[in-house]
Amino acid sequence: MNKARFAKLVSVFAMALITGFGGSQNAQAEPSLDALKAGFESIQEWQIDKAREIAEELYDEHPDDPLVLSLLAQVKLQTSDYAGAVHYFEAAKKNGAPDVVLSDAPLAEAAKVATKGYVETVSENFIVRHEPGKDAVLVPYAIDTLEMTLDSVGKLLGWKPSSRIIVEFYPSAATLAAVSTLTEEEIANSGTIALCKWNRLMVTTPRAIVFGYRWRDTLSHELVHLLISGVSKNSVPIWLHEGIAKFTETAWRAEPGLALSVEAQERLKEAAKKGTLIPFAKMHPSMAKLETQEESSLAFSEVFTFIEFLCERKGWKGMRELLASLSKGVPMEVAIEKIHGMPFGALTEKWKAALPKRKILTAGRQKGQDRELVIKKRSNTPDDKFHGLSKKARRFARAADLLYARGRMVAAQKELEKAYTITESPLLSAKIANIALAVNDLPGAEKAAKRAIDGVPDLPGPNLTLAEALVRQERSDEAMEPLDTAIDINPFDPRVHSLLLAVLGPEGNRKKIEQAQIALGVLQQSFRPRAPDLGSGARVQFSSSGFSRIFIVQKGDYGARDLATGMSTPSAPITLRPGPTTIKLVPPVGEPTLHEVEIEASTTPEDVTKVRLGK
Amino acid sequence: MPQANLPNKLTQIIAQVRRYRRRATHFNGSLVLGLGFCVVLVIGTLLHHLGVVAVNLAIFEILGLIALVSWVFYQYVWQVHQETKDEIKNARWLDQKYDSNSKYSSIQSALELARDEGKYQESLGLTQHSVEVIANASQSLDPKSLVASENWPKVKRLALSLMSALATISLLAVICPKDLHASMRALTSLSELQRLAPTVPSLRLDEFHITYRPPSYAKRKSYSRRISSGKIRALPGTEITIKTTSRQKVQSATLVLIHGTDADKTESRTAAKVTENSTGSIVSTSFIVSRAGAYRFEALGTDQQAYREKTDHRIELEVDLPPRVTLHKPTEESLEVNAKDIVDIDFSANDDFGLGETFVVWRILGTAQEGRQLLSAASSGKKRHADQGVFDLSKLELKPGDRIAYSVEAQDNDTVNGPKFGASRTQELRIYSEREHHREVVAMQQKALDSLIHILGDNLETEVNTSLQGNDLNGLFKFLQTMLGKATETNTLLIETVAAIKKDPLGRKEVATAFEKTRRELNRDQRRQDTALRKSEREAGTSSKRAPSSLRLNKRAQNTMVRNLEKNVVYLADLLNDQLMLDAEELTKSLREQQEALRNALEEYKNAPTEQKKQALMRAIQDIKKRMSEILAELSKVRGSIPQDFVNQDALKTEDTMDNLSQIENMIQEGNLDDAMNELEKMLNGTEKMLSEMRDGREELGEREYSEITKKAEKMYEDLKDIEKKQRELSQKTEEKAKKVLERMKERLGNPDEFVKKQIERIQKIEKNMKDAKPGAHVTEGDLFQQSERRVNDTKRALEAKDFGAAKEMAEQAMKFLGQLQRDTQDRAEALNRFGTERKRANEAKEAIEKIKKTQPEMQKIWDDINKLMPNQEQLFSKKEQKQMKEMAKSQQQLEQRAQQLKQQLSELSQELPMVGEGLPQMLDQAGQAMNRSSQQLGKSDATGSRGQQQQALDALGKFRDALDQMGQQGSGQGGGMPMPFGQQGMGQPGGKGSRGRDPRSNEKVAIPKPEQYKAPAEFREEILDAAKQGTVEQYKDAVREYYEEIVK
Repeated sequence: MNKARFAKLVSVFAMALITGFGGSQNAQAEPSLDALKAGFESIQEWQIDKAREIAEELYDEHPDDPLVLSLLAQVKLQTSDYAGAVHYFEAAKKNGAPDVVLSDAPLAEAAKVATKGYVETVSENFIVRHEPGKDAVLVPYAIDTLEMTLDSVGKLLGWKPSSRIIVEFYPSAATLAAVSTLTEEEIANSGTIALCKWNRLMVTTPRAIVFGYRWRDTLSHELVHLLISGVSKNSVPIWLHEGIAKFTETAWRAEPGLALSVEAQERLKEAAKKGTLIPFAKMHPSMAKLETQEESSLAFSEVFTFIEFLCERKGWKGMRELLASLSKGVPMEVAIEKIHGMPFGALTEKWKAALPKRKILTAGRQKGQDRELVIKKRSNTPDDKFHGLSKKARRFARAADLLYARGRMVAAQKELEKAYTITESPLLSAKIANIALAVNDLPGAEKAAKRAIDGVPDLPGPNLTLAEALVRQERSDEAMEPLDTAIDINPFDPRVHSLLLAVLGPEGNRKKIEQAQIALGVLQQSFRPRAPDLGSGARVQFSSSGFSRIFIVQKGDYGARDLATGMSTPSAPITLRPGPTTIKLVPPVGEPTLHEVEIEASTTPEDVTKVRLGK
Repeated sequence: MPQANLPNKLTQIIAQVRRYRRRATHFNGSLVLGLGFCVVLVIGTLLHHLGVVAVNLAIFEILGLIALVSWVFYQYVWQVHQETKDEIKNARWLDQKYDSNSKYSSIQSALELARDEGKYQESLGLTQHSVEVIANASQSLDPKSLVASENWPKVKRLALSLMSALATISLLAVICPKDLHASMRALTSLSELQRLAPTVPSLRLDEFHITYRPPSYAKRKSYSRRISSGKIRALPGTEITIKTTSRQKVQSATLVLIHGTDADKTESRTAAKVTENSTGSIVSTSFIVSRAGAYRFEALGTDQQAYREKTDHRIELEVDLPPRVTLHKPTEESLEVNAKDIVDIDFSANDDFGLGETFVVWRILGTAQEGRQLLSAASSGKKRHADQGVFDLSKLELKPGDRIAYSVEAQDNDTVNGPKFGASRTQELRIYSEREHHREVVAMQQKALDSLIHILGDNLETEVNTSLQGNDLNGLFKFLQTMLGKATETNTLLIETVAAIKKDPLGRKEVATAFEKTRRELNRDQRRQDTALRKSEREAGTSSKRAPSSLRLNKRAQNTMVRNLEKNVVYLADLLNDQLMLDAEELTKSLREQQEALRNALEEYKNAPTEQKKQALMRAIQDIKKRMSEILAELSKVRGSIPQDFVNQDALKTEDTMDNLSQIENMIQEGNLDDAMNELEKMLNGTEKMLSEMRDGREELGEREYSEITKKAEKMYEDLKDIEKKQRELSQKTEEKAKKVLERMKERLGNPDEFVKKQIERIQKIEKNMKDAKPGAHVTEGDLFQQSERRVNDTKRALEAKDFGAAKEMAEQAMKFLGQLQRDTQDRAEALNRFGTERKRANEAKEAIEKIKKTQPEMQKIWDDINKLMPNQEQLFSKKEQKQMKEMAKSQQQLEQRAQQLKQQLSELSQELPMVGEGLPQMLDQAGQAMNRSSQQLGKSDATGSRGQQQQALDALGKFRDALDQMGQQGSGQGGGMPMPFGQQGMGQPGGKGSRGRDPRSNEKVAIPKPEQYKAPAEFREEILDAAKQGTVEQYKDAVREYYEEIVK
């Protein structure tokens, strides 16, 4: 919900107060408009826990009130129960809710369609949702990253949400566009592959990007956005938002402030010297709206270094103070001036003046070219191994592939060398490394892989080849770093996990071994992934205290598993199989609970049984 | 014989001998008894096998045993007792066992001495002494071993015989266990003998007079036999009439028919007719032989005594053998056919009595489907029959890949026991499977590609070094020779591959073109390298001290070959990948069809669930399951070769499909239809996804690898369309000018009928000569003769239509063809003359030449006249119009240049992809040449001449675009994106199905209008006259005058 719409909404409440609009003729059944306003305000301020409480209370008392229903729908949208959101938006509309409170209904519908059949994994602080199949590989690594970010950045910002955070992995950038307000073109131009909006993290799977991307950093980055919105009650301007998020995105794996590559620093310096920096105002309303990836990259470098600049001046304490002031409605310029002792304009000028002199930092930073993110048209298609090569070089490289496949290594190498003389691409170095590996020229493979990594550090292939060359040279300790890099970029190659298991050995890090085993299991499974089957024959609507996510516990020969319904209580009608059923409720906070219920068969689609779970 | 004075020792020895001899003999007797028992059993078995009835058998066996026991008792008990009870005999036996010089040889004398005791006045002392001596001497005798050694050979013989007999019994137990059993039972029937023995007096009958009336199917006449044993041997169904005379006087008689043996034995009785005559009672009866068995007569005598024949008379069945069938055609043991084919079958059959109908019997291997089809009924009743028939496969509902075992089966005409069948050898038919063949063709392509890649690899790995000498040089030569050898082999493989792709109904023409083009390039590069190699070898032979300079040629040839191969192998690999994805897509579509069929069946059942429909649904599921499993098996074969670079391999996982189908089946069985439908929907969604992923894969390949080329091709195609459009516009303008020319000519022309008549007469002369020349000049359909004939006819029609422009053009062409025809006929006549065997045809050809020669001057005259008739067109146009014509000529020139550029673009495309088929550049050449001529004619303001050239140019452009469209359609017609850029959506295919997006008019040939398409001559003349009446337009006055002057001439 944007601010303009929110202002409209407030005016609706004002009118309602004047005219006595409550959606019901019964004065006693009218909900408190103050409560309603508070509910919508909480959503606006990313205080979803509070909004949920208000919505629940109002819904218990006024289940047919259109504004209550629309608030409930909004809360459902914010908690990723899209079917519920759609249901309650429809109910609100039916009961006469004004259009302004129904404006997010199309978004809910789009998200419902796009995420139908998603599976869900629940951890202590997160619920990860994704399409059934390969993306399951991401889950353990994602939860690991998120928990570490929550811990480290939560401390830095001094705030953590109390309820579980929803994370959704989308199979393509097109899905991201479908569930967000961005267009595919904007996504492709800006290289935006993840968002934090509507109280959830929306991330495109690395499968959908040619050669993958630093998805764990991105995940961390988006979580930081959520934390910032929460701590500041969504009052932080976009440049500051992005600056803090970018600056802290590496905190989960090392320390904050490492995310800016050497090349990006150099480009920023150059832009500062030339005076071609992008003004902060142009970054509004979203970095994703910038026209090119270069612009986007420069903007990020700017806001990153500005945060660096602020932290150098007042540390994280100063940042926390700033966020706290903003959450109280203090204007940003005022808050900054108060904390930093000089007007915002002077501060930014000072920062700009410092930029050309800023020392290029290399320790822990990525070297080599920033790879332009290329979003695949079809996320499931394998990566183009020769992306970016000239036509002629491509022909040589492809001839090399044909020769390689037929064991003509020397000939393949010659073709690759021909290609390399035309386009000195790290991809070709990676290929040469592969050939060297195939003919057991391990030092040659290591050298060529390193050459490729030096060219473009975030290519998973050369990292993997390097790791294998190192493992085969019995230098497993050195192999861990390239393997971690490969996982951070694209964990969908089973060899990564096989090698990781080899490197870790049976006595290695238990958690890492488990993660690798899970990933291997997912990647090597022989059956086609399918959406969970909830059965049919009965239509049920569940309710319980709190907005708990609903899972159906399916018991089988190999133990029980939880089938996600994608809904939370109070739910929209769910189609299930009749008979005795175990329902698992996962509350926003705390431990899940199990409920045994007898599901009765429905005679017609309109025949919906209402089941209350727990108290 | 007590021998009181015989020493004990001797007495004991004699007693031992007696005892052991008796024992040995008894033992032998027991062996003989066993042996005899076995022999009786064996003989009994054989007798039973030969049909001896149980009673007789029992009697034989029991009597045999009695005889045996008696003989054994006599021989081995009684006789031995007799022989051994006399001591003297025992002593003699002892003496006989040892030679006369033996010290024991006088045991008999000792006994006799002891017995006689001085009876013959011999000395008692000496006698006693002698006896003592013998007794002492015989101390060491061992009677037991003596007897044993004497008896051992007999025991051995008997034991061996016994073992043989036992072995024989064992053998019989295997061969004829029932007979053996019967034989053993007969042995135990001793107690029943009494019962078995006939209790009634024997009926004594004279010789039997038996009349046989065979069944009709045997087509035998009736016949009679006289036989004392009464034995009958007949075909089943034969009517038997028995007539015999009883020696006893009987008042009634009964025929007892006996079937079966022992426990299974049944007897049936029918009354026989009894008549009296002088010799006795004549008994007669008749019955139908149906089974083997026996019969006997029983009778009641006039004395009221019952009589019965002692022995039964055997009834034997004559064997009716099944027919013998030979399959002559198809000769192949395994033959590939189409699913709807009719297979010709030649066969012959014979039977001992007569054949019935003949069938082809079939079975679809691996299924329960089988059946028969009538081949011929004409064989019925014949003993031998050879015929032809057809095996109509269309009735079998066969699927590609099915294998059918078949044989020809003939039945005989046995109507009594039912027909017996004989069958030919079984052969196999394989139903042609497009897919299977296609897979083989794809495998061939793969193999050819592999060969090409290896040649590329060879060249890359061994580069020609131009400074090589000595042994190194020899090594290089050897390498090049080997490589060239491989290239030759690959060339052959490519020829086969191209032929196979062209024949493959699922193959694509452009793939064949690409392989063919690759082959030609390889062939050319190979020849180049070969020539260079020979030169280098020669050079190396003349001087071994320096590197041959011609190695540079080898190097160049190698570089060219590598360059071409690099280009071609990548493209061919992509074509193959595309093909594999397409194949997988097709299979997935089949899978979807099956799943949809199942959904429809389920929906139908869901709407009206009845038990009958449920059964039908379950059967449908079984069928669909089977089909799906076949498709999945095929898919799994294809899947392995689908390129991993373009298709998400996960999308192709189908392992769970069959499990899911089984789940659905269970759900339906349990009545859980909603869940079954849900599951099915999921399955269908999965298949759809798979399909979409494969389409994506193809598109990805096209976009990734060929987007740039596609853009170029698109541009080229757009250019072509534009040139065509501009050419058409220009043609329209030219057409307008040409019409004006015609109008103005009309204005100038008076009555052309006389002129036309004159020319038609000439044409008629030409036609007559052509007709006369035909025997010697016309060789085959569509030859030069016919072409000339057509051109002559075209000229005639144009003249009749008064289209003098077209008539002139056609006359020109006719002259050209007639000239060619004359030369061609000349060559043929010479050839026929040379061989001397075709004298008549040679003469005909010679005559034809003379006739053809006569046609040409006539045609020349026609052309001259028309030429004279047609004024210089410049004269018909105003200055302004002439200027316009110059502009049009310029535009035409520009279009020609653009056509040349198009050719250049095509050539560039061809450099990048071996996809541009032969003939395409020529089409552009033709267009360019026609445009050039048109431009020249327009320059001379010859609108009518230019019009024809422009039409030719448009034709050539149209053909070119058709060819591109076709390439495009082949590339994208199956929904894909690789790599035929001309077939992309929105390119030249604006119409619906079948539309090539081209103005259909442009496809028309240079049409010679029929006379009726024009205005009637009278009308035409009137128009001209009207024009004349109105006076001539001033600017054309001179032209008209000249024109009339020409006509008057």
